[in-house]
Amino acid sequence: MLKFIFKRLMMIIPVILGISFIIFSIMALTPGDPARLMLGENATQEDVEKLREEMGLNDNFVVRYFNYMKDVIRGDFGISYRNRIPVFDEVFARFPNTLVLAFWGISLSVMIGVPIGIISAVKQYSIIDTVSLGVALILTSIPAFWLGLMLILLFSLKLDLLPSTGVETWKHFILPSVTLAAGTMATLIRMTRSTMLEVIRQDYIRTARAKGATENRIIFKHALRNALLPVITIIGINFGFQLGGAMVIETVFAMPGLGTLMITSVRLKDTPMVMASVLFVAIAVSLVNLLVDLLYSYIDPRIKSQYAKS
Amino acid sequence: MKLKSIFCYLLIFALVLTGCSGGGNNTSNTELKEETGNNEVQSDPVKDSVVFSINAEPSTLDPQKGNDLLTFMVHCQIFDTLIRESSDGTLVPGIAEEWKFSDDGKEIVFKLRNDVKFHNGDQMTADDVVFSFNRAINSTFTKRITGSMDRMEKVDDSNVKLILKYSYGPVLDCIATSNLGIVSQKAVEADEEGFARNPVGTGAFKFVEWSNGEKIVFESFDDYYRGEANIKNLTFKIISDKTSAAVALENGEVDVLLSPAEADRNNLIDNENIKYYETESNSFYFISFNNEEGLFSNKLLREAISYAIDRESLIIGALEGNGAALESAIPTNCFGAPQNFKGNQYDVEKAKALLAEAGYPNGLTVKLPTLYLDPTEVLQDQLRQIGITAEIEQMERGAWLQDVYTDNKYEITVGSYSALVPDADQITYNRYHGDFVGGGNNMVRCNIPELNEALDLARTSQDPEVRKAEYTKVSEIIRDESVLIPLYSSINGIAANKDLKGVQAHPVQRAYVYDYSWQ
Repeated sequence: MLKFIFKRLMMIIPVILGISFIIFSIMALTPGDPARLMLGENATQEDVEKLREEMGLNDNFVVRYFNYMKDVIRGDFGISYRNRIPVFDEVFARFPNTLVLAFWGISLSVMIGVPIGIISAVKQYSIIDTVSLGVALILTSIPAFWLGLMLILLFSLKLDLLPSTGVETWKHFILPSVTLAAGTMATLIRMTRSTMLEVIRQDYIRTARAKGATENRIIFKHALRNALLPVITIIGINFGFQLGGAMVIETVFAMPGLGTLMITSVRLKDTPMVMASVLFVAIAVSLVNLLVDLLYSYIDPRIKSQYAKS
Repeated sequence: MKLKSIFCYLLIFALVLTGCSGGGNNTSNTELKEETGNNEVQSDPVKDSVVFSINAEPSTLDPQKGNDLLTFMVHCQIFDTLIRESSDGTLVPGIAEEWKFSDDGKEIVFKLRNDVKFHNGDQMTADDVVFSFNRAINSTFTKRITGSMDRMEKVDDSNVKLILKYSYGPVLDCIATSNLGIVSQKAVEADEEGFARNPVGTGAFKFVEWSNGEKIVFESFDDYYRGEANIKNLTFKIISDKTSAAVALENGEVDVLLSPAEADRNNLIDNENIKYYETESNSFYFISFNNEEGLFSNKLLREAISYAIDRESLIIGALEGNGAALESAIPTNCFGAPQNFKGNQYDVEKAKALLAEAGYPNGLTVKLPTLYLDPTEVLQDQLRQIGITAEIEQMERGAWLQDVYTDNKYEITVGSYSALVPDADQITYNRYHGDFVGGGNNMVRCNIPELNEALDLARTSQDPEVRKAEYTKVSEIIRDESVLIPLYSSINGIAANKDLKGVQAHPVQRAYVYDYSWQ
């Protein structure tokens, strides 16, 4: 098992190298001059040229990439073109906000979505089932920015219960987390319901019933565990996705997270900042994926034996 | 078996628990922040704090490295200038008590105040002023402000001399911008890079904290030479979504909102707890042509388009009526803007006739790259009326600056310019002078000797009347040659809690929180 984990960790290296090259190429080859963007329309061409020289932008793209990677290997991710601060300081300052938001977003959606999905499946075609599927449909269809603004209008402006912007206290995270959870929750309700429905028709469930097992034991012990694999996949994918920053939600709730950082940096062609944030997210997502695979093995012993063999 | 199940279920949530370590750390952070928040709440009864919403993060707090309007606005709170802008826009003594020009207008001697202190407690000296000016003059970020300046020299402990390359009409306006804010030489030399995040100036507010992407906090400087500010705590809160910012203003989370969205304007005006201030900006939007190459080297074609534009409909269609039609290429708040100037007036028949005369009786199709979709869509429709099919290409700012602005690979485009100081030179000289064709600045690629001459004279004359007359001539040449078609000036708005006094809208979005006080 340890060998498997080690192998998976080693596989992150080529992934990171590939991603770094792709992102660096995109940043270098798309139109737009970072020096001109920093200096704006008012600067003369001589100033722009001088700044390009200062920033080392006149070197060949491949040379720049290798120089950059050399520094990265030494742990130096560079200085932001725009803010002139070490990029990792900025990424680290924002990552906790993104992590907390993603954590609560996923937790809420799991805590609400999975039980509703189970109840829906167990009580198929009941009123609960119909309502929960309706709610899931609505939640999937609502755009996050709209839901966010509506929650702000209701809880912040009308009821004056919760703050609308910022990250200063735990209260600031409630509305964004609920907004973020809505979409994933809808997916989880539908996914849990459909996999549960599939599982409870299996022979081994019928066998469990024949053995005289209680309904709760059948649902939670025999059915749920087998139904969880695809659900965990969805949770893993969404969590990874949210670690990349929920740009829309961060913007609506004025939260300094990785999503807004990446978008702003891409617009300003701030290559060091874009590279650091993307690499950071790539590593985080790779680790989450690894964790998901490990979870599989604990839930399904067959997978564990495969890992052991590999 | 039971233990194993518990372990299994625990692991199911291990995915989300990956956030625990970071989340845990963050919890302690948020608790700390909550305490700070409580302190702020406790100080509310005396109401001496202001939370100011801005929609982006300033690039730096180093005045000699800032070059966007938002960054300038934040710098205004931290740094003082030799000459300052008063609330009515006139220039009054700042750190310099008085100044005197040499006869040829190329040298200015400033007498400095002797009671100015830096935020770190040090006395401000003539050396700091000389250091700050020369640092600005040598910076790549400040050339539009310092381009006319050669160097500054110390005369004695209370006098400094600024030496110009040429006599420059708007030099005093330039000196009043934060690019020429006085910095502590000691602090800069101790940590040049770090200064951008830990500035030491002489201004009304001193730096406390910068939380990346979230807020920048200042407190009043008790040794400020003009007396301590009424506002003791100033927080710039970064809220990039303008609608969220408007809600935050409405529910009292912020006290001032710079540049609200046009869509929120009426709501804010109607809100009885909020006061809305606005003024015409020094920025204007235009249709620009490549006068030198391609289709629009044909003057008749440019002229045809100038008659096809209905500015009033454009403002209603693209800005919900919240703009000011501009007929000269100089915004009305700038020195030198001609009075009652008339551009080519909307006349579809005349435009069609000119189009036919230009050789396109059946119209033509053009590519129309732009940064601004709303006005361009209205313009597209107006051009269609005379038979011109415009294919809009909305571009990212970086790409537009590269392809259109710098490399001039375009025929017609829609863009905007801002005058950093309220003087026509700032928005005309580099834009239309033959010396700046290509490589940015003169993107219209015009080189008209009479225009060059008028621009030169207007720049260097020391007689304001001569300067005004030359700028009228500049506007006339731009109109007669249809070098570029000015469309409208935007309106700068600022909304604030109605009890906060001293708030003013500004043509280049400056704000002086020192003038604010709670009623």
